[in-house]
Amino acid sequence: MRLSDREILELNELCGALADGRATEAQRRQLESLLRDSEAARRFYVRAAAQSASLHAYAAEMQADAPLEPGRRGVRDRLPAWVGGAALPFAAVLVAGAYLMIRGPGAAPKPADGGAEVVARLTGAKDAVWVARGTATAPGTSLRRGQQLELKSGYAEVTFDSGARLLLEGATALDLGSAWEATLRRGTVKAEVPPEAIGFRIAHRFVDVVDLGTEFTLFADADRGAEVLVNRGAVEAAPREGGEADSILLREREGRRFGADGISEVADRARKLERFADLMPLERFVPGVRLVHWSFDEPDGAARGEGALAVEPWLRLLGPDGAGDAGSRVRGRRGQALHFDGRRYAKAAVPGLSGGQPRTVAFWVRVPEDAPPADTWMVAWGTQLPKLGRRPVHIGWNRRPGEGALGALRTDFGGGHALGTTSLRDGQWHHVAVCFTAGEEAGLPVEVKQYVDGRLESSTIVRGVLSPRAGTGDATLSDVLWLGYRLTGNRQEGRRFLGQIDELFVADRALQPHEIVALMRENRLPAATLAAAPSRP
Amino acid sequence: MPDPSSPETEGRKRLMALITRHQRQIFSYIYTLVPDRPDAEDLLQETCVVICEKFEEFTPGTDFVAWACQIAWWRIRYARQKFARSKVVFDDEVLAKVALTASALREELDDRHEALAGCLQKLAPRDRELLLTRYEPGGGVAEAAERTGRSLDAAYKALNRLRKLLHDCVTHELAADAPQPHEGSA
Repeated sequence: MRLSDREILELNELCGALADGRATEAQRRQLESLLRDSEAARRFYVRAAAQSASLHAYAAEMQADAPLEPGRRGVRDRLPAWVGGAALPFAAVLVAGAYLMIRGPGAAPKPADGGAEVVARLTGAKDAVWVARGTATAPGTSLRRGQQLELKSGYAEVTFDSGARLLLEGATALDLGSAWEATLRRGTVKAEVPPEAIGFRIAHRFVDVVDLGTEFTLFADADRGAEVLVNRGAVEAAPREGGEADSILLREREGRRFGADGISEVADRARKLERFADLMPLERFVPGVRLVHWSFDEPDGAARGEGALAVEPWLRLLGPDGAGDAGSRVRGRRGQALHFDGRRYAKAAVPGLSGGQPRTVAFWVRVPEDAPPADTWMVAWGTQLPKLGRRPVHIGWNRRPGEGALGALRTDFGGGHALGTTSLRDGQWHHVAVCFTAGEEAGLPVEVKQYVDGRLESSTIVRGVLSPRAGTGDATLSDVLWLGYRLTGNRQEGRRFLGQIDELFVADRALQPHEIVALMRENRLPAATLAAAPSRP
Repeated sequence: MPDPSSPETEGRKRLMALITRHQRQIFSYIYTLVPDRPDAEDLLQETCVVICEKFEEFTPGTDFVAWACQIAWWRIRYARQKFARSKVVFDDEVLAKVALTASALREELDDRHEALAGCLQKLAPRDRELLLTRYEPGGGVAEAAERTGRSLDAAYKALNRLRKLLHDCVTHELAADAPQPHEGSA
């Protein structure tokens, strides 16, 4: 039996009151009566309640995907990659909780699920001794979501993909939840959180600490409590037990102890603050990197790349018919930029680009507010990898609003895509960096980290279907970087890009967050990275 | 260190994958019966604990969500006395009837969840801001009203209007059953 319009409006009002926690006793009884007697009413109610559950999930996912500082404001006109199996924000917590639950107390630490995404790296150590050999001992080790670290003694530094950096002092047990959160089971952790990683969170049994762009230390034991001390800046600390629900804002040189018996002052606070005032002299692991950089600052014509990867440094500018084009330079983010008018494109050889090795592509881009959805294709390269169906990789902006925010940074590859949240289609310059790791082996997960203006925007992928009509890999597309061009399988399509690109870097490994920020701010890698870079092959 | 390829480790991986993939559906089922986010999340966590404890009883290849929702149902029944004093608004008879309806509509609710993303995108930014602020963790109607420059009363009314709008939009989208355009990998 169908509901009348009046009944629908009445049910909608009742369901809304219930969802917002303002239903009166009379309204509750009225709703209960309707649900008892009418299957149609029950169907309406179930759909409405499930819709509220979905809204909770979407809103939470959005909040977790790109944490914002408390007190943020502004119209939220951008949506994340919602559909296609993206995990809910509370997934990591629940899964970790379930995982711990079945692990049982006192069991040996477990490696993370090999299929989980990389969320951090071991970037430094001093006299580090790990409880379980092989869990995280190798310099530069990639650390995955859900991974449990147990440092028996010494010091170790973990750098998250969000840019947050944790110094662990043994004995410390830390679980990695995501690029934006970790759980301290016991021990001592000092956190350094750059502005790009504001919102990074450390959870403990008794307190959640959300960083507001700062440096803080957390001392914790497994059962009795945790002490939060702010070395610099401010943090928001939310007690999890003891009946005190309100968060506390702790400023520089302040501290609190959180335990089962509530919140108290930290004993001997000054001494504890001093203990971690300076950085430990760690042995840092700086992997070498080779790159090529196009500044586009030549007056006109082909652009010359610089760097160890610039074996064939010239980037050819081509017109719509594939003939040479003088190109068009416009005022860029730094010096001049390359202007793409929806017809012009460019290409250059980059050795090894089509293989499975990790790489980073970073550049400044400006997309007009009215850029048409056909012209989204910024950077592309072909691949020869069977696991990607020998399909190309494209970096562009999202033209499918049903899949996420229109205009957000999007990386497509054979078998899936990654999607950011910030619309690039606003006529402003944005710094974009994409770390892409496919791996040669079929079983290895594809990793895509997308950064916009230095901030990690997405670290998970949305899996798609790799259809049987996969390309065979046109050899002429191998190791060629395309700008402003869409490649489909082994076929080149006429779709292009409208906008400007400036200061393009291609690196032969996944750059770390602080290296991406350095490219954005200084147009060069940090000195320590450059010192470790090998010379031209 | 345990052997990563041992049956025990494989089982844990399978369990983690199943919970990660399906927890939204389990949460949705619980929320339908206990329409309060914190209480529903507590019950979800309790349900996950039981799922972990009983996972050996789950038969691979069968319907994990149905099995998990059955566990959730008993957790809700077990917590009935506690919630009867606060959040659960329905008596046993109505709770059982709603649970049956929720189970019967499960596939449709999955479709509605996906369609909702597209319908949200169609809202005006200020309306979307209101809804998402209302539903984000720690958010509420008061905060949503403040952020979007509405009075509290106006926010309540707008939320009711928007929920109905989304409900109708999703129903329309599913009825239209429009084929999704499919392009290449790019």
